[in-house]
Amino acid sequence: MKKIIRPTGLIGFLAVVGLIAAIGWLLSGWLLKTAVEQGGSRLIGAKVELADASTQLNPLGFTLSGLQVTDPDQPMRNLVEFDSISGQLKLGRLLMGQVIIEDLQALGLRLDTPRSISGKLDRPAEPTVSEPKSESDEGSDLLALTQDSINVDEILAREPLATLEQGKIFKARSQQIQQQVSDDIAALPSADSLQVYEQEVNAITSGEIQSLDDINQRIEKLKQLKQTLKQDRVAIVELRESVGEARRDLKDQFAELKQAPQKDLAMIQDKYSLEGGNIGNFAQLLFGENIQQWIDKLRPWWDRSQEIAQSFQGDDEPPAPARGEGRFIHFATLEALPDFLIEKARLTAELPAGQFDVHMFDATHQPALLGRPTRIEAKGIELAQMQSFTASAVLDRTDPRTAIDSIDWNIQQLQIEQLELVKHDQYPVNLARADSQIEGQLKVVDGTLDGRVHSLFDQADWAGKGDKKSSLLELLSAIDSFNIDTKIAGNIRLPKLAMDSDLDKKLSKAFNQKIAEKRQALKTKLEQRLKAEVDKLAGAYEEQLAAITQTEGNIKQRLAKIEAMLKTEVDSAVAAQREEIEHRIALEKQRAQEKLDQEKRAAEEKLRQEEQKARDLAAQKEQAARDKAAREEQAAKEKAEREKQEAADELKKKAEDKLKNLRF
Amino acid sequence: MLTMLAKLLKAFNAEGSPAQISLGFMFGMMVGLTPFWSLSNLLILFVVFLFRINLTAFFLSLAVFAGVAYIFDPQMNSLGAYILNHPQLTEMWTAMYMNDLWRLTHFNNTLTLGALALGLLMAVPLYFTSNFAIKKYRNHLLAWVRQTRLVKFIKSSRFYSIYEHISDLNLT
Repeated sequence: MKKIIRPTGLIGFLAVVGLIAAIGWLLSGWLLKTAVEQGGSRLIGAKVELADASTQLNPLGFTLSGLQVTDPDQPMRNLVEFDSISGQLKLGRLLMGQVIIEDLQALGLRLDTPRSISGKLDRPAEPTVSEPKSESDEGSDLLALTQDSINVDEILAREPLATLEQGKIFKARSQQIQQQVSDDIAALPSADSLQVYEQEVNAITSGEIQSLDDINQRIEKLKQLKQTLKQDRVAIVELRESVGEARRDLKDQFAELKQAPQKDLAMIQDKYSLEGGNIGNFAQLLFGENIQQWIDKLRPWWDRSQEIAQSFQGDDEPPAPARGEGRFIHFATLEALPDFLIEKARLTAELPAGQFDVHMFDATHQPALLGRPTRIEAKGIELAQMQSFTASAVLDRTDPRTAIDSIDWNIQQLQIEQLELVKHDQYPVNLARADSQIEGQLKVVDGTLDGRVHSLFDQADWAGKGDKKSSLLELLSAIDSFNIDTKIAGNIRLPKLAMDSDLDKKLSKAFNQKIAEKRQALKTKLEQRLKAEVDKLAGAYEEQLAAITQTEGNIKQRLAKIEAMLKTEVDSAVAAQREEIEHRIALEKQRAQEKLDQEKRAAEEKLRQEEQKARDLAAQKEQAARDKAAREEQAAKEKAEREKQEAADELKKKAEDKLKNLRF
Repeated sequence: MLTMLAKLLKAFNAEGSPAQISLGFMFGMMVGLTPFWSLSNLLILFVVFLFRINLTAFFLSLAVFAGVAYIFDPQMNSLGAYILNHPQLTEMWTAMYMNDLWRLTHFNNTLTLGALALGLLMAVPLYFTSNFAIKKYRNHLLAWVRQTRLVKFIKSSRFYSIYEHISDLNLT
């Protein structure tokens, strides 16, 4: 046995263990400092720095001094800073690998303090997610309208206007039409040409007709002239159509130009919200952005807590542990404790609003294991800007699948100073001061918000910038107390605020009337300006239209003359010739009749003489003479009639022939 | 100072049989693989000091296998997680988890259990292998090593002369 056991081994063992323990104890401060800095940096994603760390044996505990936790989003600012953090540990649990802090005291908490050096860690930047536009932006446009800040000239200079564009098109087209019409008119037969035509026609149709050949020649000339006139007529008709089309085109272009201001006005109205319903929710417009900012401030904290919670619980594969550490796996037990737990903690925070005392219970990264939610109670001690502040929160992550957080708060006599409500360079609106009481409850279930905040504002003073007062500010100045009920819903990334306030009743009627007046004034100004643009071009349009009308008149006259020459000249020549022929026939008839009468008288004379002779003769010769005279008379009559008929027929035939020849 | 160091080295090399050296290697491996601050390591350390086990071999092996442990840390973690999460062993682990004494051993730490399992697997083979190697070394290579310049240089140093003197006096 003596050979197996080393008698001095026990001493050696104790010496070694003692040495290691002594070294460990001496280095415990440094080790704790390193562990907090490295572990904290890994958890936060930015530098965590500790000025000093020390440990104590009885009771087992630690003290951390000068803790600075960098804001990952602002490396030159600290997220939080503590003067000292001290706590007592359970030795047994520590030996089992569990850090259970019985009582943690964190003193001198300060938020958002400056750093002397950057606290950024070398890690890839996370992609930024663009946040959607909040609903209050539309309202700010409407509020801007009331600030008399929208300038008509600015709008017209800024916006692409159909009126101006259409005006340019109209002007160009108008000039084009003018040139085209001028060119076409130049190609027409001139007034002098028409006069020459008329003279030629007159020469053909007037004057004495000498003979049939003469008629034929005249007809031939007239025929050729008519050919020329027909060609000119075709050209004039084409020009008439072309000018008519140009007139219609010009009218259409001008009609479009006249409609352009309406389109522009509709576009501007829609963009600048000049139409539409009344503004109803003033509280939303005025305070919505501020509340949105408070929720935005809470969001990173909530995101961070979610990241930490999800990295340690849930069904997902946990992250790989650091080398040399391993990961503790827990089994079911009656008294399950997590790897890290702060049973009770007290923080004192020094904020601009005053000093706050915060108590926290059961803070752990493994609430599902512990089976109890984390509770936080905060109370204001020495408050600068409010009479009292109390808040309580329960962060329930005991079910790994669901995160249920609830916060209640009550603030009495909070003094608000210079709260910016409407951001504007010339016409801002601030709540200069007010005493408020704010009571609220908010529940966050897996990122879904459900909350209500009731705020009372009293002794309210409003302020703008300098001496300039917007319409809104004038109306608000009459109000010194109001309340706002806010319902919070939606998601923590996109919260929806529904605000109800008695501001609406107090302001809406007067304000809506004011804004309606301003809308109308702006609309009228815009209409006038746009109409003026159109009127600049209207004069030119009227002139050009008159010129086209005159041109059409000229065309009509010339066409009428040519038509007249083509029609009327030919008929009058025939008629004149016809009259002359008929006159001749009548003369011939008259001559034939005179001749006949003369022969008849001669025959009667001769007969009387013969009768006289016959009387002398016997009764026989009288009879014979009478018979002979009768025959002769009959023959003369028939001859005269024949001659007369022949003459008439001849003349008639000639006239008809001539008529036929002329009517081609 | 040199005398103290020589005495310390002598103490470490007091137990020089192959078996003692092999046991030193074996226990050094087990401590080197597992996380240092554990109850199992404390027990091993106690055993190593109490029994005549070569301390030089123990600390040398501890250093070497600490480096091996760093390299194979993820694999040992995975082994430990597999063993702890094995359904057929859950009942046993749960019973052990409820006992604070067992909890002190950090058996439910993936690295501790994985390294311990690996150490136990390698312990016996390592013992016999090193035992065999030491015997072979002493029989065949020791004489040659003693003739090397390095050994001669060490032997010519003052520290070694003190060490030999203490050995002769058997002051251990």
